[in-house]
Amino acid sequence: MSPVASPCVNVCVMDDATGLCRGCSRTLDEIARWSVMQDSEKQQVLALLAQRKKIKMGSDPCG
Amino acid sequence: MDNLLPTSIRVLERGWLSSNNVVLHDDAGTGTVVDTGYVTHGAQTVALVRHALEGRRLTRLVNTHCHSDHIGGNAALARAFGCTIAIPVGEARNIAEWDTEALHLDGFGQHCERFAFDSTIAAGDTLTMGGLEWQALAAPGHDMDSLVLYAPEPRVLISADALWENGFGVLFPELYGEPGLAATRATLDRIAALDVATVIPGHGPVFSEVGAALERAYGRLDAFTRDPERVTRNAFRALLVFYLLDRQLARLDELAALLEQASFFAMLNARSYRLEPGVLAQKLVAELAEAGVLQVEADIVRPAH
Repeated sequence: MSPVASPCVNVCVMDDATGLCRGCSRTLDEIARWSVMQDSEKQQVLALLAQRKKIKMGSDPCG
Repeated sequence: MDNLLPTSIRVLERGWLSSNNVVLHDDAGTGTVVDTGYVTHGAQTVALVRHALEGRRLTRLVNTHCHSDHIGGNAALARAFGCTIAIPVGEARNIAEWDTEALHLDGFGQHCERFAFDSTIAAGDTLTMGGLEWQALAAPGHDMDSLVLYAPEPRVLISADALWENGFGVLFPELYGEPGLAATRATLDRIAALDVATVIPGHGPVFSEVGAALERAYGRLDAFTRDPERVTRNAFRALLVFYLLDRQLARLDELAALLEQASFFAMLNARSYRLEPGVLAQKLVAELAEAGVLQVEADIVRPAH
């Protein structure tokens, strides 16, 4: 059983401007490869998502 | 986890609203997909499948069963790739006539884009996908017409919602008066008799500890058999959460309206809870919030992530 939970929040719509999923902020490749990633790589993706969300909030005046 | 699957198989795993999509590289130029997720995710499903095909053309789409979270991307994929669609033979009439009650759409507050199929698959049929031979096996219980797909050579099972790492899908037939509990037991027995190294479930991660998963599934089935009321209440909660995953949020009064107006919820309330819809909505939301599945702020309910 994989201990790293999927970041999917069931929104599953790509944003054309950012190239990221509007729900989880992953790229298409990160979503597609999730099922075969080692736990260490999953953790790296989760860390990247935290950074992306921070950037997104910082650039959004309504954020 | 280590990749336990042959290189011709790609599994697209998202959350619970969309089933897993299994992309198989049939040869250098063509591919197949098994199950297609929920309708609102269709555009991303097309993009993910295209990515996973690695330049191949999608020529065929196969469904294990015809619930909204497994067939929702069918229409979009057929439009994008011109692929053929094969469904379990028992679903042919419902899909051809687009019987939204029998397909568990209207009565559950769920949606799906209509599609047409090109062929049917029956238990006992064999398919070649991803360069491997697969047997279609009957897997009634979650759905009486569901199939699972088994490849003896790499010992891989595409188990749909008949077996997950932790349980199995809602036992709809039992709720409609069919022998769903007995069918589920027969299906688990059938799976237990197979030599399986790796399971690609309908939802959740690919797993290899099949014996432990079967043990959990039998345990759940035993609990349901001892107290069939639990089948109803489990279904009620699961379908309410599914509805919220689709909408992302709803007001309590909207949930009360759903429980009153959607035929499935109304039927099960009349049989099991017998509560006024507003009271029932509050009770269920409180239970699911307590379990950490939902979040409630004022009268707005959301899935907990």
